[in-house]
Amino acid sequence: MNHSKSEAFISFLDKRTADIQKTVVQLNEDHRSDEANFEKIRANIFQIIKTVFLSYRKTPRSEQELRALTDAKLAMFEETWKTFLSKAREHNDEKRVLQEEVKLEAMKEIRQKFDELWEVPA
Amino acid sequence: MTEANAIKLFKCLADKSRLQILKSLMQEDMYVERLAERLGLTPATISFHLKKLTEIGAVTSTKTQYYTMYSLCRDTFSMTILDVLKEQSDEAELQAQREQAYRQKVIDAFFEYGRLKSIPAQRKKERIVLEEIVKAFEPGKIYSEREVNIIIADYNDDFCTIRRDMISERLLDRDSRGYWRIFPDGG
Repeated sequence: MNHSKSEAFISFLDKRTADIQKTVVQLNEDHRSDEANFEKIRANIFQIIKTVFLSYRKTPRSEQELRALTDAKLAMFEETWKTFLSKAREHNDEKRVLQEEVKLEAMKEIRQKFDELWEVPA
Repeated sequence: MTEANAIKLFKCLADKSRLQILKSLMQEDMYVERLAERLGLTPATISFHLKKLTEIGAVTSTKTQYYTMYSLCRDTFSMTILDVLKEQSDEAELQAQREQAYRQKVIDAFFEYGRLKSIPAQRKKERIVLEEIVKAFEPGKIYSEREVNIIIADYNDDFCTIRRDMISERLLDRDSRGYWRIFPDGG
């Protein structure tokens, strides 16, 4: 995978994690601890994707293969969390709905950046 | 109001977003999207907070044709802090509440939308889970083994283990006629 693209992707994930962690601190200071906890979940998603991406990058692979692997993993997460979300909605589980929405929002951001870096047609 | 309910109420109110929601509802009844717009939060976040506020009796909801309207439950707030402080703490009641809270914690951890995710390894926890499942059996009714399996399968696919454990935990009993629910007092 193109090294500079990989670095840009990792730096995006790090930056978003750091930004969200600041939001967590602000929300806690503002006595909104439940919302802070949901933001922690959001930050975790960026960290998880970084961990997955770094593990893929560790093994020597062609750029195409690495891109396809990451793309498939993102799609798998998206699919799983969409299923969780619809299940939570079905059961009027407000807390879980919010958790899954936060995860999917984070994934949408990650997906946009990934597609933008590797120029996936919209 | 019991001590445990007072604690739940105060904990729930110690959140700026929830206080903002209550302040909005002080003015008039509102639906989720309106509150979301007003407070700059997502509808899902508002729904989450409203659920918590409903659970402690701070708000009530009414379904209308298009929306669910939320209202402030004024009775809850007409009570003074002094009223809460005057309440006597009953240790037996507190113990029962702690036990109930523990049971609920176990149930929440092992059940997801009514399905048992896994059979707890700890006997104490398994007992709680089995007691929850056995509620599906009507008192006094005799069930065939197939019926028992079908009822348990609604909760978990490992109905054989659960059925056997219910017998050994003395929650179900059996003879040649079939299976029936038994109660701790021997009923």
